Amino acid sequence: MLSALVFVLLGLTSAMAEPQRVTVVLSETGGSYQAFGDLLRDKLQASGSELSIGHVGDLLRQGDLYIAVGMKAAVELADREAPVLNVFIPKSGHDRLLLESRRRGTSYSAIYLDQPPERQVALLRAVLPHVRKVGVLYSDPPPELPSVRKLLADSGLELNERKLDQRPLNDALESVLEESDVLMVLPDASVYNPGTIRNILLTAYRKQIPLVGISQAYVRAGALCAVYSKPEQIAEQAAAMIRRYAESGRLSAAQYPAEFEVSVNMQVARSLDLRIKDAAMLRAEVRGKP
Amino acid sequence: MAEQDLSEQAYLQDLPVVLSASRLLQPLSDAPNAMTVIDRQMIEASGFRSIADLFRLVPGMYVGNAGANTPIVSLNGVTDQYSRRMQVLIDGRSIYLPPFGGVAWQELPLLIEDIERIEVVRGPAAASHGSNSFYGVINIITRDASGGSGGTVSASRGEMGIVDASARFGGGGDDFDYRLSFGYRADDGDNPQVLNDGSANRLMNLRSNYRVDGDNTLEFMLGLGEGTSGQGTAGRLQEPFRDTSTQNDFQQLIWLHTWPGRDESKLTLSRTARQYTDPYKCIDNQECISTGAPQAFVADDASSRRQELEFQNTTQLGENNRAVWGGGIRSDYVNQPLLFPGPITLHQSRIFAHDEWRASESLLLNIGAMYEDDGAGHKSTSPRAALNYHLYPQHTLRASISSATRNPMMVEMYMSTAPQTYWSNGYIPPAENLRPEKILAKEIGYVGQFGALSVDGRAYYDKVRDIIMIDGFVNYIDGSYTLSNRADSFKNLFDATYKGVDLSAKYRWTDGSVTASYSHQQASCAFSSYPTQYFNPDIGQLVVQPGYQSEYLDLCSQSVPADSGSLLFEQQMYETYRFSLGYYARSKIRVTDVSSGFPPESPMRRVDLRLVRQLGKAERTGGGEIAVVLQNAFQDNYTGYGNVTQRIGLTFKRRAYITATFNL
Repeated sequence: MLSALVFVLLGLTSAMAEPQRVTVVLSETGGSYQAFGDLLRDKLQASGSELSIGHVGDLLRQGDLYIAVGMKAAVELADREAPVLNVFIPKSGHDRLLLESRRRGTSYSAIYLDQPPERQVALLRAVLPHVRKVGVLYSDPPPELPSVRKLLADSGLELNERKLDQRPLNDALESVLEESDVLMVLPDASVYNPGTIRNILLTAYRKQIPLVGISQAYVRAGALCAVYSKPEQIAEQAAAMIRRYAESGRLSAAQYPAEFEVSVNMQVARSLDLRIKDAAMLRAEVRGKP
Repeated sequence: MAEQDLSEQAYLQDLPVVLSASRLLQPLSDAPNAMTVIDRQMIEASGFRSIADLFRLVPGMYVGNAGANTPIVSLNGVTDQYSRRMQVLIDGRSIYLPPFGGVAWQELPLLIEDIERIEVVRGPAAASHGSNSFYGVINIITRDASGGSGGTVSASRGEMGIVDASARFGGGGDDFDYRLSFGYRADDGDNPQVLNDGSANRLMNLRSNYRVDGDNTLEFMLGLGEGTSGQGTAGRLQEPFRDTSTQNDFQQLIWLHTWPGRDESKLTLSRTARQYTDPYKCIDNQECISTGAPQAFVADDASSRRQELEFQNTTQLGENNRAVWGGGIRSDYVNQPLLFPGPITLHQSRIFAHDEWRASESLLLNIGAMYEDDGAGHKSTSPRAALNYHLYPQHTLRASISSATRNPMMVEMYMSTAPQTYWSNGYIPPAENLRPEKILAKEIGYVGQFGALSVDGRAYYDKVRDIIMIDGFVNYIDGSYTLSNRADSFKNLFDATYKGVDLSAKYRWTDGSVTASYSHQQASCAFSSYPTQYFNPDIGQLVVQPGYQSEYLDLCSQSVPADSGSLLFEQQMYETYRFSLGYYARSKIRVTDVSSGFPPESPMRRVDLRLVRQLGKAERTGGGEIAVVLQNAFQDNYTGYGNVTQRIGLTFKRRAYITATFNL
């Protein structure tokens, strides 16, 4: 406790004295990780922070603040006695790191990758105002399930959940689709992955049931719509948190992405004979929700 | 809980494009042509065992048979046994085989259970579906390979010697899926005392896909079929009872590449082949009838093959404009010594492009064309334009004008046989080059949605030019003309006009549905050029008597049923039972190779019933069902195709069969 306090004070003084050294640690090379690193560098250019980008396993440059990009980096940095901002990790991942590392306070925070359940449910209702029964599939009940269930119930919607046991995916899939008007993706890589998505999307399509995804990749693959945040939007939010940290020496509380995009697959909508609003209107509508 | 489950992977993973533009069903309200979709549910509810029967559900479509093992499927008139004026695709592969240009429906190495849906385009659609999309297109889409692991076995037993069995399996890994089916279908035919029209077919069908990476998918399909099909008519010595054997196989490879955005490129390579052997074909009519001498019969061997390479691109030109363009080459090969002097190969090539432009929220414009060279000296262009106007989101008006060509088939161009051998009349290749047949179709249509009720209707007016028909008595043998000693040929002889109205409707409720269709049609024909005999004083004299040529004008107008319709009702009952009823009706019709000396097919009013008892969960492991089907439940004695005395008055008898299905 004392050491944490000392550390915060040290951080504060060093931030004031010289340029803040920000060390970004990427879980993977390339892809969205690298894109995030590059975007963050751009956004911090004018702030006087010194940014270095490394990868998990690299010998890292000493930093005043570490940005862990992805779960692998977050796990590696969780034990460091240094301020860490986790990005590109789901809320559930951050919560578990909090639990395991017993890190608290203003030197350990996150911008989650997932969207708040309120936003996901808001999108669902904006896109498909007439649906009544929402199906979900999971291998283990996801942490956000209770809040999704409550939000749906508050809107008068029914949640139809199926757990994948030993049964083949198809049995659970057929059974949940039979009793649902829409299938809502909850993050679960053992249900939804590049190997299973073809089966899931084609089976749902055959039954004329749309899928609400969690990233743009889902929409491109054939989901009806998704709400997600682009690396740029998360980088923007991270840059703001880093600037505030430079000024105050405190990290804001862990938070969901503030800015987001809505993507829709109009071809799929038309083919399912669904007349839906366009992405810009849906985004405005979701944003308007409390 | 696995660490992975808490990681960001679920959000950042790259997924393959599954519902690509080419896989999605175009909604009826956006389609440039009138279209009927027969989905899985309808296929099951119908209880049909044969793929050809399913087309009874399409407004205006005629399904008949020249014996139980030779179904005839046709849209519009001037139908004969081969109904060669449609494009038929299975997963994009044209299965229309030379030299006659028909589809051997009974022999297709495809189980009816493996069909995902059938889209039937009613009207010419060459711009989007390729050569021969003349009166329409039958587009069969089979179940995807990724249908999950497990298996299904099924067996049927029924009257008329029905014995069917099938076993279907599926499986795969992270990047690979397959489904594999084996099937056996057999029956004794409809009228085994008169016609040897039984058949038995074995088949194997494989469909697999391999996900190379997020942007590339390979699909491989393969089918093998082998069977026997009875031939022969009681009382006709030149057509003794015997079994012909057939072998069908196909291979198809599809490479689908998706570009960033929604663009995609698709390369399809396919090969379809058929071997046919009639072990005891009469080639000397007189000898067969008078003495029945074995040397008057020989083996008739035919092999045909179609190979095709097609490249197709879907390009998004802005938010509201999408183009599909590409090209293809094809080679058709036939070797049938009894019909042709030697093997024939034709190399055909084509390019096509069509564009779908959403000019505004309510206006959709489809414009396209195909240019083709059939490799036999015919080059043609087939354009199409359609305008869909959404009066309200749920109500659409469509106006379209569309054209297509039908290239002459090999039999029409090259068949060469002496009289009283293969056919009773001889054939010689036409003296004058055949031109492709041309169709120009105009239609106005409406597609509407009233809650759970969807309806669509259209009125159409089709002009067909240069229909290729038998040009009788163009040559004579041994210097004398007699009815039994002549050689015919083919010629562009007729123009036809088809007009009519189609209506269809579908209503769904929680545990049931009803689909209905009705079609009223009219056909009329006129000579577009004079039959050769008209200029030959000798033949002319003779021909006046049988009235052979002008008879066709009369037959042409009878080659469509004036009224036809279908109704399919399905209802779930008491949790575990499902009941369906199919009603199929049409007025009389005469297929054009049935001459006026024989009666037309009588009107049909047929009712099929199906009752299913579900066991466990229908589509899940451990589940299954027992289904009982009663076809022609009230024994409507409608007659079928009859071009010889012995076939007249044969009817389709009521029959029942039972099917048990279990999921492993």
